[in-house]
Amino acid sequence: MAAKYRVSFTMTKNKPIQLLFPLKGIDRNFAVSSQPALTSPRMLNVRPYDVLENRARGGQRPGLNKAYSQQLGTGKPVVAMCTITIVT
Amino acid sequence: MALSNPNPSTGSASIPVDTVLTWSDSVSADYWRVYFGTSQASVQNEEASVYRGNVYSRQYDPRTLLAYSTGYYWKIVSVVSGVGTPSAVWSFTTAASTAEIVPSKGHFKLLCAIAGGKFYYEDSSVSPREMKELTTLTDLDEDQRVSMEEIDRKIFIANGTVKKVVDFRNHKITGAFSGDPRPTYGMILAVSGGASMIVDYWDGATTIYGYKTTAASFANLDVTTGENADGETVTFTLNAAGLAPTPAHVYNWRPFGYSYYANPADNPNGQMPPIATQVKRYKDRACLIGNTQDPHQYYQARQGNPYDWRYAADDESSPYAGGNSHAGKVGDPIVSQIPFRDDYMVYGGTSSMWLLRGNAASGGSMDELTRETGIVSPEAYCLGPNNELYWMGINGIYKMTADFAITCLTKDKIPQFAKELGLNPTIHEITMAWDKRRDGIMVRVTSIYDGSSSGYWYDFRTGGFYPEDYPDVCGAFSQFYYDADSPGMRRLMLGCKDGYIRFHDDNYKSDDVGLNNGEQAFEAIVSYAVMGPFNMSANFGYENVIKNIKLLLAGGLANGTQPDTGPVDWAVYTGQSAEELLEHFDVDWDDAVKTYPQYGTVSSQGASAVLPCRMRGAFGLIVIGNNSIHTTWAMERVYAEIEQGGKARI
Repeated sequence: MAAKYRVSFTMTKNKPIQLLFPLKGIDRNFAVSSQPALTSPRMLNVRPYDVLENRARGGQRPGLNKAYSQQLGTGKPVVAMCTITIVT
Repeated sequence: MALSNPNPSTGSASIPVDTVLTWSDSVSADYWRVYFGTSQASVQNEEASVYRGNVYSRQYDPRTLLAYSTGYYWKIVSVVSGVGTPSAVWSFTTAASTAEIVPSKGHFKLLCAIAGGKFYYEDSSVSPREMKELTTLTDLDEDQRVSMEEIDRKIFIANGTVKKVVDFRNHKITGAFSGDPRPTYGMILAVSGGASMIVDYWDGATTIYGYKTTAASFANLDVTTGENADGETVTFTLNAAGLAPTPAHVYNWRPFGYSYYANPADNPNGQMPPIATQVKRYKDRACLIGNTQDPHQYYQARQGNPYDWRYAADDESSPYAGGNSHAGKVGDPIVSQIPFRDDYMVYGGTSSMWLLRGNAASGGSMDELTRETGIVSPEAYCLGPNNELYWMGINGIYKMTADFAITCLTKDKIPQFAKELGLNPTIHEITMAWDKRRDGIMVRVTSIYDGSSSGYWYDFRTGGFYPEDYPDVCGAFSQFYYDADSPGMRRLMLGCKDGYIRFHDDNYKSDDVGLNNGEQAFEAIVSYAVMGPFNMSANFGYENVIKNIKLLLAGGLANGTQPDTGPVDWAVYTGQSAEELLEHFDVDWDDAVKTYPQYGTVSSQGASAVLPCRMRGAFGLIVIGNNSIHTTWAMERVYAEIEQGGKARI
């Protein structure tokens, strides 16, 4: 079984615990009270490598941008893509 | 002046065409109006033709508008409580085109797409490249699955009963034969002392497509002659000048000489399956599946000739039709065909996976890979960086290594995979693609009715799955990693519901949802990550107190050298059980006013924050996220200071 989120501290002294971004992603396999470390039972639109510096620390996913300004098919879905090789 | 520090600086030259405009503003504006164009006067006068909409952060991305070697003018109006303060008119000139766009190696790639029954290709004659309509694909059935594949500089399309070729390679000649000898595939037709072509496809009547081998052109009334495969002399007189593929010819994909034969069974090039939903290339063969009249069957054209479907004995290049069954048993309907490494084709059924080794027509074998799962949809697969195959079965995402070891990646992470996605292959477009740039796999499940889209990002580096949802208009009906010649264009393309092709852009902090009344519209990305639940007490029956938490966010000092995070929403939940905390989170995280936790927003850029809590319980849970438009966030870590509580108040 994977290591759990667990707080270890004495009862007489305040002690900070540190939590990292759930870099190992979503995990709904275990009892919620035994959530494996570095996983999360709930997350949405986040990625382990952030968009600011591409470091493994966690952050919001990149936004969606248009690759081309043209809207194809008078607004109907783009159902297939591929490439063609052109010889010059 | 409130607005200053334009970037690119005014008057600058040789600016890359992928530049994003930024500026400073001494006031905290509500938004900024952007005027951008090639006419200084139009920008100065804030004319509608150069109005590019409002932005909510100090940047504007004009990349879809930028051309090489062009002068641009821009002006920003800072708006506070409806009162606008304009900047000066700033300017810059873009750099000259570089050889990177069309490499000098003699060939380059173009992206192609189908939407609304029309075929589009990337126009390389303009910069930045645009998608240009080539033609309407007559008869295309938009209710049927569309599949296309490049084979030898031609794109072959399968769409149920409709099969097309978009031919970027061959010249086209039209005319008439004198007498009966007819052309055969691969023969040479030549004009004495003039043009010459290798015959690739004859429609059975008056049109021939072939690869021109000389610089000379085919002219009207040219008489071409050549020797066919039977040693007969063929004479074909043109009734019009030959046509180059500029950029492509489009015709029906049929057996060579199709319409010449009143009874298709008489065609020495055989018959194609009447229905096909997916086309792939394997061992230089055009391969089809999806014949609903015989769903267990796969079909492969002759090696090197996608127009020959006549099965022949003792011919290792012969076309081939086969099934995926054990001897004497009914096979599994084939859903997908997947070329795998160089010498294998994987056939994915509804409930099993099969492996064709080698050449089906000569010495090949068909072996069962697994009965644990099939594949849910034709394009629900992708390859990986180490010759591995990933696909979606009804129980999750599977991985097969190069030595055919199969594991389910989601079984011990997302046990209810299908339920969580609401997976229904009859109403969902299910696609997967390997994003080489970001080192992972994008899994998308999109409703064909409303575009609602869910799925996961699977990151190779961490081995984790991360749920992502997109606005409905951005629902992905297709995915394709575009290995463009230009490194800057190499990216995972999403073919979206609204007809736009999109990609993930690190500079975009919201999702582009197209135009609204002529203005660019965006939708905020609702993002969050739950950390925990964690056990706050080492002793049964006792609970402790989170005294305060410290969020260590990305960015260090505000406006320092490290990029700053945007605002971060936070909440701390505590309770007697871990599940209780999740229930509270599920109920009120989306609410502006939350009932159960301590919560707030850290909005100072780049700063860490110490936040008092005093939350008591046996378990704790901390959430951070953001649902504001035009913002993004990143974190380093979170500290929680815990002090002694006492016996649980149960």
